[in-house]
Amino acid sequence: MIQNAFQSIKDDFQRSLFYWLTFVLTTIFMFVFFQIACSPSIGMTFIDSHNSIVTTLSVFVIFICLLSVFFANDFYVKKKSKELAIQLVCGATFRQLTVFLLSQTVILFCLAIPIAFLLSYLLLSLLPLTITFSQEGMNVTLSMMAFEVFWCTILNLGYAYRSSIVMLIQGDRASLKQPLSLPFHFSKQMKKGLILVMFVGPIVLLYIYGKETSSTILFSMIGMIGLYQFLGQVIIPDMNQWIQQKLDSYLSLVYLGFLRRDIIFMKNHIVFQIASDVLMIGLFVMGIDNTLYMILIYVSFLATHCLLSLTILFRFSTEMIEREKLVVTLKRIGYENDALKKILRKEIILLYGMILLLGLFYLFNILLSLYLHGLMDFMILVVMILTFMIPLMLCAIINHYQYQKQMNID
Amino acid sequence: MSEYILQAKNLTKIYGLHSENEFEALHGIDFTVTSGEFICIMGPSGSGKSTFINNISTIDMPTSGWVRIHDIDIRTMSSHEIGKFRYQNLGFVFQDFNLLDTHTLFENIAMPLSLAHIDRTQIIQRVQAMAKQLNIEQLLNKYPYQCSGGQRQRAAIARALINQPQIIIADEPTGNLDSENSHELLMLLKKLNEDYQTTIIMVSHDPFIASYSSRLVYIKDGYIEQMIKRESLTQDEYFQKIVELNSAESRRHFQ
Repeated sequence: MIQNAFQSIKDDFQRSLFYWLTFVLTTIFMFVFFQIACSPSIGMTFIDSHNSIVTTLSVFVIFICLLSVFFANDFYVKKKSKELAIQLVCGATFRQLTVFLLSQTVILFCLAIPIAFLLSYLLLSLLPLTITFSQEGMNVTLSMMAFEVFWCTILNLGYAYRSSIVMLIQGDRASLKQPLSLPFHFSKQMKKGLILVMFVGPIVLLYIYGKETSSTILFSMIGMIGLYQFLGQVIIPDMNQWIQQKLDSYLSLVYLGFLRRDIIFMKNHIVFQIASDVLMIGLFVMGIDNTLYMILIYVSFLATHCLLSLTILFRFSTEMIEREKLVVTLKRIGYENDALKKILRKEIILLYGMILLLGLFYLFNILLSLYLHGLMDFMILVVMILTFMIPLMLCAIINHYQYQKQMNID
Repeated sequence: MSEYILQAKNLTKIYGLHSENEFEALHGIDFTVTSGEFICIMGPSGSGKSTFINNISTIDMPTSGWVRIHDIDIRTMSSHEIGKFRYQNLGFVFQDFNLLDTHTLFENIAMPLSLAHIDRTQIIQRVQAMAKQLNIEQLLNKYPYQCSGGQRQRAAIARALINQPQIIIADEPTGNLDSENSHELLMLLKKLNEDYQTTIIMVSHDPFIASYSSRLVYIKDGYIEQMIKRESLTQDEYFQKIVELNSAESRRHFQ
């Protein structure tokens, strides 16, 4: 099984590389974060925690890391479903299947640690502050990494346990969940109006009450509920109508359908990504008068944003696996390679463009209101916006490259 | 203009050419189809049925020999011309339906029309009319994974027929259907063939399903081994002949 695991990593090098990269990034992030958090100037301790912002931030950071590992694991394992099905058919037991999956994770994890530590030291030395090495920071990082391995074990055990041969071969089917029915009924227009108020309203309030930094977080979180509803209740139904309007455009008909599916499939990720960024900006403003806090929160913002962008990349890549067959069908109907290339490009541009626009709509307004209230200078505003845009744009480019390669239409 | 809607001459398909794994799947097959025929292609597993159907329908290209549809050699077509040719002349029905799970049944059926640059109002009218004919008009806003196998196959047929193609290529179209839905599908194909002179080329393993055709082509080891025409035979007599051919082939293994 362990030999098979090595072979499997070799055979599926590109995916293994992405999984490995997730481990490298999460380890760097945790190491840098806890070195700064446990440095004497911040003084965070896990035994007697007294620093509320940093404690909240730590919990959030750990959560994001685990979430990122979860999606990386899901993305990595799903592609191996046929391989697992063959092993089950050949009589592999639950324990053997777990060892097979877990050995791959552990091998990649062990390969990631030395590189991650090296890069973390480099990163810490590049920061404009002297951070003395903290043993507690190191201990916490190691504990968290051990927890990460434990988490992967749980994930892989769960995957091996619930895997049946039929399910592995057929794959998961997407399903549309019925929304909860409420005891009262709004007309469609009224519902849309209310959702728009919930989505846009908090931004207006930010400009009025944005001087209170805690209100930034509160209003933004209300806005995120509005965003979630906006995606599900406004964008998706509007897309159905949009597709009906574009029936005579053979490219739009396909890429809008693909995009609709992406939004249904990734709605939670998109909202979570934007909500996490908004929360980080709220925390960033709370610690703006202390440079070390600011660096700590900025590093957290950058890292959580990168990791969450990666989860979007992984989620899209998982969906991409199902698309291979659809592209073959489109070719049989009469779609040429050039048309298919355009479809895939437009889908990626629209998906990532939508995430960027929705995110920027909130982030820009929050940052601008903070700037207008004198809580942030213009350079930080620009840096934060670039930090938001660049990782997502890189993920879009990687996804586009992967998509074309996977669909074999180069 | 030739009397044949489709002609194949010396059709040869070699996989892995000039490699260690070189394998000749079809050996110089000659084959003609006249307009309005209902042909069933039968043969044991691995005999080259699917390779044959793929090569005569532009899905794959022969290694040597030629295939002409409406007197046009498909090997001389550019990828753009092949795409156009497919949505204008051919309709495909497959065993696993090949519908796009990302799109509703309506959108799936509309795709060939959209490719043919038909205007929106016409698309809506034609999709609705076709759906009504196939009794799936209530399901148009559903996604394929929300429908049963029979409903999905009817939607796949609606998509194959929406452009009124002259040739329908069906690769084991009843493979995933129960007997009732299989019979319904075959009756539909037969009706299309009789009422609209649509040429149908279908692959099947099942002698009963093959008995709906007007000509049976039996392929074995990459060659056309036999052909049976139904002509004036009743369906039952034709079925008996197909069964005899099949069992004779099976009996050869005992000798």
